[in-house]
Amino acid sequence: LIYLYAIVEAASAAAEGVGLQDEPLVCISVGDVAGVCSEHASTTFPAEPEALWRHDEVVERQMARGPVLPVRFGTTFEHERALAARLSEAGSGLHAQLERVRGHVELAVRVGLPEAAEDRPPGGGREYLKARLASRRERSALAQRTLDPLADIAASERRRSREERGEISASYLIPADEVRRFSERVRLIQQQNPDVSMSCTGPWAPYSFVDAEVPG
Amino acid sequence: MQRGSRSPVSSGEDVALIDLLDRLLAGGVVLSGDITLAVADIDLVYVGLRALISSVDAAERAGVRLP
Repeated sequence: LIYLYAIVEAASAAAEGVGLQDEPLVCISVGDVAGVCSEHASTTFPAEPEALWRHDEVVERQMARGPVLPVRFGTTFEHERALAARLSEAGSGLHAQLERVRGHVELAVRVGLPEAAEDRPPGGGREYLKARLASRRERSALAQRTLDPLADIAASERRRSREERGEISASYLIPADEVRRFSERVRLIQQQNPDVSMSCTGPWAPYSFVDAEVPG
Repeated sequence: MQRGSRSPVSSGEDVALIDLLDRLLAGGVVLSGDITLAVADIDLVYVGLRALISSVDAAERAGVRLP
């Protein structure tokens, strides 16, 4: 199988380093885009931390060379021809996306909600709904307070409320030279809001800012 | 890349791993119908990680100093 890590500009593609299971990397160019991939005898790729980090390492190495579209973990093709055909089919869509993320990186921010908001014991149906509503309001106020001030540094933002994890998570696409300013702002917001716990990681490749489905 | 380098603000390796999972398993371009990994794998990774993090939290709350 051919395992695909990233799509890059053909001009900046380089088969540097090794991929999953220490297999060598290969670049397959079609027109002005290229897929960075490796060839494998195995047919499944367990989503274990070591493998996930390796996938991301391959993506990150390309980031240093030019714009990158990271590919979802576990994406494979029967053989090189199948990948080349798909790249050629999606070529112009991929090219447009590469332009959109050029010079940008993704930062991840998570805001942990104070626990009290989660553990309200439900009374009757009406009480329960009231509590749900209050908790939702609290969450959106919190998001406004902590995440809104980050948005103006970003070119783009994606937010997700993760009730099951008691947190709001957000992704920001920001110019690569704004990473420091962004992270200082997170630090400042955290200081101003000691009742929540914020985390910020990155810079990542723009995993949250590529179109999952690329039409042919 | 070294895992520690993923933290411009704070947060340890576990936090970075959750962010990594969210991105690699739910984000990124999907170019083929073939995503060759079992869903069970993903759940296991998440569960294992949550367990790890909450036990770290609990230990810290109890005043245990972790290395």
